[in-house]
Amino acid sequence: MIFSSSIKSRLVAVFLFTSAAIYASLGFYLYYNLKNIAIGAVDEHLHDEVQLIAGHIYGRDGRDSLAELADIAIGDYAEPLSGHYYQISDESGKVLESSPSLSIVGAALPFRLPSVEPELSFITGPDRKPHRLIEQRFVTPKGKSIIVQASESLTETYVLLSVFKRRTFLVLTVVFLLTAAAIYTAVGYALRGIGFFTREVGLITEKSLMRRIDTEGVSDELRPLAESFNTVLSRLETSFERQQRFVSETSHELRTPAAVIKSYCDVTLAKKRESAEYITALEGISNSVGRMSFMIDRILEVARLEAGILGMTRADVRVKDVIDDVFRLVGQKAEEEGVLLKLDADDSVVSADRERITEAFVNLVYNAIKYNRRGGYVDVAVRSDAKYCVVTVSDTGVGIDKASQQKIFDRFFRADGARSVADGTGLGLSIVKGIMDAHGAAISVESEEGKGTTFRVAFPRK
Amino acid sequence: MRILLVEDEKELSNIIKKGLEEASYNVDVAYDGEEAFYMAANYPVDVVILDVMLPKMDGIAVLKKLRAAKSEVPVILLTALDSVADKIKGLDAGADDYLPKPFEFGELLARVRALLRRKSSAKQSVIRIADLEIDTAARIVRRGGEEIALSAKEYSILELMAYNKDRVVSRQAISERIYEEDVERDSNVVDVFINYLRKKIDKDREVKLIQTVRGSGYMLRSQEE
Repeated sequence: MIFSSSIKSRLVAVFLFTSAAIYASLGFYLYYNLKNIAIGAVDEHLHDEVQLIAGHIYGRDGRDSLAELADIAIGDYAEPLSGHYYQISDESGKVLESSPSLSIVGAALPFRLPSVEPELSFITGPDRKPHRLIEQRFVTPKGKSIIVQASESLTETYVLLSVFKRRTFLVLTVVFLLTAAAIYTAVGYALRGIGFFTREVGLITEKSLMRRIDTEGVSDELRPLAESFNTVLSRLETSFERQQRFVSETSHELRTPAAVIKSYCDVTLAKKRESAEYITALEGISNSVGRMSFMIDRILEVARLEAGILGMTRADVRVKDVIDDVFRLVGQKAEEEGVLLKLDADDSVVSADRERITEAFVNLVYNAIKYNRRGGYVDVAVRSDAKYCVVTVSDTGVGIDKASQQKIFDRFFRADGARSVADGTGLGLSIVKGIMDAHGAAISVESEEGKGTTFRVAFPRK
Repeated sequence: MRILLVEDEKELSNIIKKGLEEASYNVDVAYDGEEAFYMAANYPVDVVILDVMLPKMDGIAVLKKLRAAKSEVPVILLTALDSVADKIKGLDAGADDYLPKPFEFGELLARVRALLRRKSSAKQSVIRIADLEIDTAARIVRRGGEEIALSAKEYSILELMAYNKDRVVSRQAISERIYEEDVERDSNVVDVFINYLRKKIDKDREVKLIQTVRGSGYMLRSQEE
């Protein structure tokens, strides 16, 4: 589990590994320091002993005298194999004198010829225990070399060190465990923000998208995450609301023709009728079904536009050609309504999906005809400057009041004047806007009641 | 009985009007909110069927304005909005009933009858006056168990008097409820219809149910004085 993907276990593992390494180093450092100090103390003592022995040999009168050594051959030096030894030899290795602790049992310290500087080494003593040995060569005034050796058992030192080692290990282990517990708690404490965050996020469902994470409640490190999360939530909520509104608006709009069909069926079936009445009813039903399927097509188109999944093939299109096509498509309607179509266009070319913008302009021009007066006209102008190609569609119709102008591109919005026209779906202009948006073109409306309306589309130039 | 239907979708209002007329109601139609308020406030209507989404003034506003003007006419809201919130909004605005589109036409008729009964003392769709039975759902009239065939106008007048049994119904009230607003009314016609009704209902019967109240109008009486 230590190497699992949990932040907590990883952090704890790293901290534990680090602290284990630190404590182990500390333990070794302390141990070796103590060992050096202890051995150093032994060395110092041995050194002093050698100086003392040498001092005794030289004597006060400068004569060689080993006799005075008896003064120091007391205490530990007198106990056989006590662990404290000295030995004085000549150059050939012949033992001249040694401490009673050696001589009584006939033991000797290993001999070699040292320099005049004190030399230290570890040996196995005559008692088969570890010893520290010091040896130094002295030259008598007569030019004779005397080798003085002293050794001391390290057994006690080693016992002391081993006790120290055990205790240190124990103490450091306890400290390590306490550290581990502290680390575990601290990491848990540090990460509780994530727990809080997780709980907060867990409370957000598709029914409670209005909930936000309290950015004051999280730690500094998590705040940017919480803020990003809230931003994402807001976007989700908006799009969710848009979807829901769309569904509710759509079902609302489809219910009316459904009610017409249902009522035709119920009323007609309520009693036996003449065949002419059945024909009337079926015609009414057929009209409503037609209207419904027209509306469904438009709803699907709006849905595709909003989802941005409309496949567009853009090419260079001369706007004048598009408007010519539009006029051909709506020419008959204009004639029926007694409305004159006029075009004043330059040769501007825009990058657009020809089919889509034709559809959009058919919608605009068709509306301009539908809500016009007999003898009125629809004026389309195409003008370009360095930045934009602007197309205006103006009519001489009834106009749109200010309040309706704000909502005219909304889905299913129909101004009062438009509601009474049976073939309207309230989707035409939102489709136009969707198409223009997909082209990066801006569409706006200006209108004066009783005088007419002008739609203005500005395509960005390449 | 006279119903005001407010629905701006022409096709829908036409077919509902037809269905209601075939159920012997006299139907006026309004196509926008302002017209609806004017007609509901000034015509002697018994029930208003009111669409919510209307030009000029929406159905809820019409309803509030009607209630503010102390009109107690029963109102059924007819709407394509079917969320609970919309229903609550409609009922709180003073609607007596709420019917989401699309609806079963039979249900609309049943709800209209329920509202008509609410105004009268009748509690069931079959109204009984002595041995006279008027089944307002099936539009069948019986007396002493014997079915009596009535014309649409005769039935309308009898139903109006049945909903108002033991109360005087004026000639004008009868005339207003059997004729549309723009028809030239002649109160003599009411007398003629009452005569037809008497022949079919009271003739050769010991108890005469249709009574003339001098100077006021007519009444269906359930018991002898």
